Amino acid sequence: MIKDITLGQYFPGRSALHRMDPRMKLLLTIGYIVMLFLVRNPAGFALCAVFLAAAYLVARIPMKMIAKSIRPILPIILFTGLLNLFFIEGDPIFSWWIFKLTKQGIYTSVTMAVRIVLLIAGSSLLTYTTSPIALTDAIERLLSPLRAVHFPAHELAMMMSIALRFIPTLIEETDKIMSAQKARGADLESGSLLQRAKALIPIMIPLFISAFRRAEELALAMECRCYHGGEGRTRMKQLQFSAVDFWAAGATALAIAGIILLNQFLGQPF
Amino acid sequence: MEAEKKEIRVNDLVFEYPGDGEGIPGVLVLKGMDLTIPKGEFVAILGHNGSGKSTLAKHFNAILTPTSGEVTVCGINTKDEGRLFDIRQQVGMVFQNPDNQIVATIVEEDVAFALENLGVEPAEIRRRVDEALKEVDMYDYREHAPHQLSGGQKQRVAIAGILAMRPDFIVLDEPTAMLDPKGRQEVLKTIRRLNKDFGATVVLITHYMDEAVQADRVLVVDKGEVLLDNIPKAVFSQVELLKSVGLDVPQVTELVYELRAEGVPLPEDILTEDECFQALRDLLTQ
Repeated sequence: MIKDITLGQYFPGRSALHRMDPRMKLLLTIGYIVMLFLVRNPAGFALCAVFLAAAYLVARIPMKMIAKSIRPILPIILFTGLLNLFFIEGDPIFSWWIFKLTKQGIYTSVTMAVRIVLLIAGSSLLTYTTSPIALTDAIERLLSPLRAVHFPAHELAMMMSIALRFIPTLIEETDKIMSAQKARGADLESGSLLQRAKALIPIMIPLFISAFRRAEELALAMECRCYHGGEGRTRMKQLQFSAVDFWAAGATALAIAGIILLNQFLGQPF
Repeated sequence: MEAEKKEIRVNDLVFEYPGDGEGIPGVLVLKGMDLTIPKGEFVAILGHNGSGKSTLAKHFNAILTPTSGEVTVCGINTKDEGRLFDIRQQVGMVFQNPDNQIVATIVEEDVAFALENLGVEPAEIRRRVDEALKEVDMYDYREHAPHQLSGGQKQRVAIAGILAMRPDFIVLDEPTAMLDPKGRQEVLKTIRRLNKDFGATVVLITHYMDEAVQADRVLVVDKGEVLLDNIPKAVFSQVELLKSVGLDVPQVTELVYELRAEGVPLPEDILTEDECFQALRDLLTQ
């Protein structure tokens, strides 16, 4: 059962978005987030939504995936929405005790909710279309100029990819330890929260010990294969920007320009 | 030229795990070993738990360096830290647990790991990775994630990761100890093929007798010393000596030994099931 946990949310595919260079995807996602925070009017939000919908269509990721990625953060959206609704100063429509419903409040809470939804939907698209490994690779390469100021870009990426590599292994191991402890009469499923937390101790301790042992052996195996950090290291797979990447960059740049123009001509409603 | 000779040479190797200088004393693991492993050979190192066989193996590629005595690989002393990567490139090492030696999340990326570390050109890495994967018969799985593979397949990937470095020597430290019988067969077949077809020097550390039987030469290690160093037939005929150091003999050898002890006239150097079957049939049809 525990094995069913999927790693990341990657949906393998061959669409233009899947084939894009992960570095470009990462940069454009950041561009898209900036764009979301530049927006000042409803027309701008509409433009963002159209842009995102187009990206989902190109990637052939079903729109219902958006709902799936929003669900876990729904409480946060509702909470911020409610706070904004009643505590923003402005022209009151309705007022009771310390609560004041204002036009500005309604506008802010709706736009805030839309902004968060668009933000999550957009960044999920990155993980839907990019494998965790490609993403790690992209992060390493994008951060590598920072090596000049002694930022450990390679080491960071190495840690991330080793973590990814060992997640399935450790999940399997947890499963085994749980079965072993259950076979000895451990009760993991009943009792109060505190009791259940305590029941986890005999699972966590063997898991940690084994993880340390694995780490030691892995380090030895890496040394045997001449690992000595990022210096002088080459890569088998080279990343290369292709036509798709430039088209995508162009489209994103146009969308950002559109937002700025809308801001200029329509301004802010309040 | 001595320095040019492709071999691992061990001279009077002594190794002691140092104590902490206060309460805990050091542990003397290797007590003066001498041996030479020439290129092209398939050597099995047999020994009971704690006999020092893994410690010996770790000296072959400079993970450990001798307390006294010396180990040279193709003329390079393992104490020469400046040439550490030369030594490790010459002597590849495969460990027991395949899960703990695969670094990357994709098979082919893992095979490329050593070459990337050595700074080889990308196109050359691609070529060598494909070659290595074909040699261990895992080419079709090159884009799989390691956790999707069986134990035997993972171990073959680990071997490919070493092969890609094109080492002169491949040291395998109990590579089949954690595998099921099918996985063991796969890995052994691969090891044998590497030695026979590709001329790789193989040092197989094991406590499985049936694996050691397949080698050209068997070294029996006990309490930090080389006890026997000979061809398998000569080693396994010494049933009593092997048993005295806590090792089993192959079932066939055991059977022949017991029968001979009962006075049945069988030749002493029977090793394989076929040989045993033949000998017994000849005896019964006489």
